[in-house]
Amino acid sequence: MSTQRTRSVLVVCRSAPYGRSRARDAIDLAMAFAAFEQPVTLLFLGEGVFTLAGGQQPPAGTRHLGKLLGTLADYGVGQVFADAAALAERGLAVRELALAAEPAHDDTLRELFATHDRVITV
Amino acid sequence: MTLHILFESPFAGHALEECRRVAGAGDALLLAGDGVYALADTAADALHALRADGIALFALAEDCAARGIASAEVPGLGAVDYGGFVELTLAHERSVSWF
Amino acid sequence: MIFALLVHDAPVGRHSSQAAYRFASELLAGGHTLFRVFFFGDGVHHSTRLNLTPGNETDLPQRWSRLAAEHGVDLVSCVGSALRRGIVDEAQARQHALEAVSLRDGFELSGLGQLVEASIRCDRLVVFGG
Repeated sequence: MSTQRTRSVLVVCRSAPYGRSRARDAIDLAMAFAAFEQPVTLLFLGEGVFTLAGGQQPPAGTRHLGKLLGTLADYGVGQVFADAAALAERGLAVRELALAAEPAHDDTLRELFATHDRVITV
Repeated sequence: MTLHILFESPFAGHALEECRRVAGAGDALLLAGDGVYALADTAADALHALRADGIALFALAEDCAARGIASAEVPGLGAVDYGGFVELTLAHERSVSWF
Repeated sequence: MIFALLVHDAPVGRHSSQAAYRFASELLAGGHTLFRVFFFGDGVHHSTRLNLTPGNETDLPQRWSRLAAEHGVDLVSCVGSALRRGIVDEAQARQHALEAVSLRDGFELSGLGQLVEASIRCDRLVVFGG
């Protein structure tokens, strides 16, 4: 059995925030891997970029994902990327996002998928 | 090198499209479940583009058969069973599931 | 080679859950090791013992439980996902004075740390969803 202690993980969120629970699941997974000191990158791809939208006001009883994003750094999820083409397609400006994710164009996306030990899509 | 596993029909969502954007030469794509609908004639351009980018194509034979798709007649497509699915995950450093 | 699986979706009505089970059986038949299967979100419905499946359909919770007994596979359902969905073990049922225990034999409830450990220990992590 491998004695390696860390594996880099790319968590990919492909869902908008409030229609289903997948976006929340992706954030929880990224935080858990970071809490156990695994190098984690969180990527919002395609429809997932809606999770980054500013001005979210969910009703009481629903977890505020916009605010939850703000705690990612505290958990040690340092690297957060957003699919640049998907942001543009959905009219989301980087400066108005709930979290200053780094816009990733296709060459960066290819690199992210090719360089992490594990890729967990949600 | 990465094994991409597509579980979603390209007519139902954007998984195949997103997979295309992130896949690179030397990767492989396995069509499973409704992902085998990517073999429909009208989705052929996407698969041609993947092949042109150097991505090897496979499909789960039983999922094709279940859906009335003749996988053996698709040129350049490797039809596999679950044993072949396991082998593909072993032959690639990581897998990415699209659903 | 050592495998770990992450299962996102429910056993009923989802093809990927059948695929996960078939994949697990096949890798074990091939002489590989399945270190752990982690059931997350709706995937935790695999760990119920209160399901009834018609005889001509595959009872995935029962199959997984049998596979675990035969091959020593660790089946872990995410405790956070499970409690929200009515999957409780004896300790939880007692603690919250619930009228039934619904966790199937062969499964255990635990946190996401179990998935992290699986990711570290395995050679291949395969995700099943949709």
